[in-house]
Amino acid sequence: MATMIYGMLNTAKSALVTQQRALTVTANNIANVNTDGYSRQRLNMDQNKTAGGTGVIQRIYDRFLAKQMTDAASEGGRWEAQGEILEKAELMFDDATGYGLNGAMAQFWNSWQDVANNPSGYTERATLLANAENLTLVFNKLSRDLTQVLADSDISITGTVDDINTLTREIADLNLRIAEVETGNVQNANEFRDRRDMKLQTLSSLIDVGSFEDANGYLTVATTNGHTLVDQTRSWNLATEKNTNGFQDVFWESSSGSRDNITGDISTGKLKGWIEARDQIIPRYQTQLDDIAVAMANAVNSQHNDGRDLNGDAGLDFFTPFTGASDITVNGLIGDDTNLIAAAADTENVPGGNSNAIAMAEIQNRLLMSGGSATMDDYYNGLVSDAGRFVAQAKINGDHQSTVSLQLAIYREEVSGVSMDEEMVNMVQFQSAYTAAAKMVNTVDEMLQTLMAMV
Amino acid sequence: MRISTRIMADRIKSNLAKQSIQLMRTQLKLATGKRINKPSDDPTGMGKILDCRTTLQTIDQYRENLLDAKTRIEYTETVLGQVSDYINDAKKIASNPDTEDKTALAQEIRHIRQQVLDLSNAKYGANYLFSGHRSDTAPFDQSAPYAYGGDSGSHQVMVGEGITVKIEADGSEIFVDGGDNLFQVLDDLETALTDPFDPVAAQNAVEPLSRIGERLQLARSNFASDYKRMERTDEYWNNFSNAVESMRQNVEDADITQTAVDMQVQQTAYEVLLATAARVIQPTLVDFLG
Repeated sequence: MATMIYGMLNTAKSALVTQQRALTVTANNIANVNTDGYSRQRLNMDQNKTAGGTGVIQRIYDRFLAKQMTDAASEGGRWEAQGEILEKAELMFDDATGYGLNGAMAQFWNSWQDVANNPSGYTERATLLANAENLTLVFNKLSRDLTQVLADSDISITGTVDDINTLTREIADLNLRIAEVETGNVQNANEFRDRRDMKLQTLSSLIDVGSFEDANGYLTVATTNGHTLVDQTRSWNLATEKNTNGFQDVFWESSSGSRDNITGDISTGKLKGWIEARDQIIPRYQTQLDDIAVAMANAVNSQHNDGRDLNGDAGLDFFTPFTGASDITVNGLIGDDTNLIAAAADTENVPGGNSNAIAMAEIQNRLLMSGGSATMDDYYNGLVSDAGRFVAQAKINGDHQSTVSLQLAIYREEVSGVSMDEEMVNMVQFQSAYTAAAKMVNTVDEMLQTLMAMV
Repeated sequence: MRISTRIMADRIKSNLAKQSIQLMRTQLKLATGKRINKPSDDPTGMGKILDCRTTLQTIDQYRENLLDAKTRIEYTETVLGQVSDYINDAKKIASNPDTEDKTALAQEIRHIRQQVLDLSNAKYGANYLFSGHRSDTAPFDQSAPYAYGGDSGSHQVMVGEGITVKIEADGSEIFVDGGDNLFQVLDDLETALTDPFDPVAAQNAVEPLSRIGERLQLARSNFASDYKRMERTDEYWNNFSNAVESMRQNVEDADITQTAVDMQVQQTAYEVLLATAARVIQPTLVDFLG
């Protein structure tokens, strides 16, 4: 009889402890209602036969959803990074405001017509020179600005590789802690797991990785093409090295210290976005810009050679030797002496002849680009359109990915998010169970006293 | 479906962000009056705008060229009109030289010659109008035999893509007819009027003066038709430029009324969202537990 009464006391004690632990979990949930990446926890209560253990605290979590979220983060990171860099490049094409190459070229050609109107006029010639110099400056600046954008994305790439290394180290560290806590399957390392999920999420937004968790709770992380980044409690670093273009390539460092170039294998994440903009898209802008500069300079130079300057001599090269848009300049000799501008076609026509000036102005309408199907203006306007199109595309893709990510985050919240109302209900529930258990102790106490009084 | 406390807040935050981005874009449109403020707003539209701008700038230049050429012709016409008057005066004197005061007549002819010579030296800007391409050389010598120092070049004006108009600048085509040079004829007439007076020689001047006068009229009518042609071209460019400009406006400029209405609608939506957020976010069970 007495054993039964003591048994009740034990059961009541166990109930008190269990409800108290449940309340602690509730308190923890409430405290973390706004914590990023927190999964709500629940005390799995067991019907307990031995009146000792009171259940394991488990986090409510959907592993499949987490995989989808890392994928979305990867794609989102790629378009975000690419959009950011391309938008910078787009800004350099100052044509929306009317101060770009488009305007500078038009001014240059128009100046030749002004010279044609007054072939020997000093003012017209000086204006032409000023506009030519401005045109070369706009070419130089645009080319330099695009190179600067390339350098910026290069810095971002180096920084991102550092971030990746930090993240993989942290994941390896968390692997260790989780294993330590969970040895023997008594406890779950819920907080550490939440944190590891967050790290993996961040890592995925930087580079495309695959991951799986083994039976011991270790998370193995590898790049999609199979280079291991984290295995159990150790991590491998990525490194950067200058390539022949002067930009940083991304390498994977093996345990022996040898390096594999993985630049071309990266398929998504911010790194991909930056690498794609740096190695493909913006260089294409620069090539097209160079094409325009070269085509223009060649046409202008050869036409100028055909003309005669005010001294009756053949025109010099108008633009001095150069390699592309970055270093095109007006011939210094012409810059110092407006008389060297060749407006006339023949020596006999000097100074009133203007045929060559008119021929110069007509270069604007020549189909010099795209294998003879476009004028320089057409070609450049197409280039600006393209610069806009790439940004618009990156934005559309980025918007799409962020909608997907938001939707996934909402699904995640549906499963793992803390609901204040739910927690309040739980609290009331656990509290009344606690009160009832306490009453139980009281009752047992009274029963024992009654028993004592009988003696 | 479980609704967690964060979903509510996150949804509201993300919607607020979306709405304010839209509002900002609409505000930018209203502030600049432009639908396209950077190439990515409408890449194809941006290409069209740049095409239009190139065309507009080119047209502006053609019209400037036309204006310059027209001014040159107007000026030429003024000069030639005066020369024509002087030739008529000289013709009158030559056809009727038998008056008392031959000295005065001779003096007048000398005066006319000097005037006409000055007029033939007319400059447009720094360039002689009537010496062809040698625009830095006076067309005629100041003394007999008044040789023509220019060449046969004409002034070319670019009025369109691949289109040029030639304006006559060859003084030998205007002031000289066959072997007769206007200034030499006047010089001879002056000699005929001075001692010894030679009425026959004086009257002989009438015929070349008439021919030169006619040649001058021909040149003037050529200038007039050039001028007309340029006016028509200018009008054409003007119409074309208006058409291109309105095309550019259609693509680039924002429809202000539409944008203002959009703005109003978006603002209302934003306020509704705020009001809803204020109601939805607050209450939880906590508020109702005693």
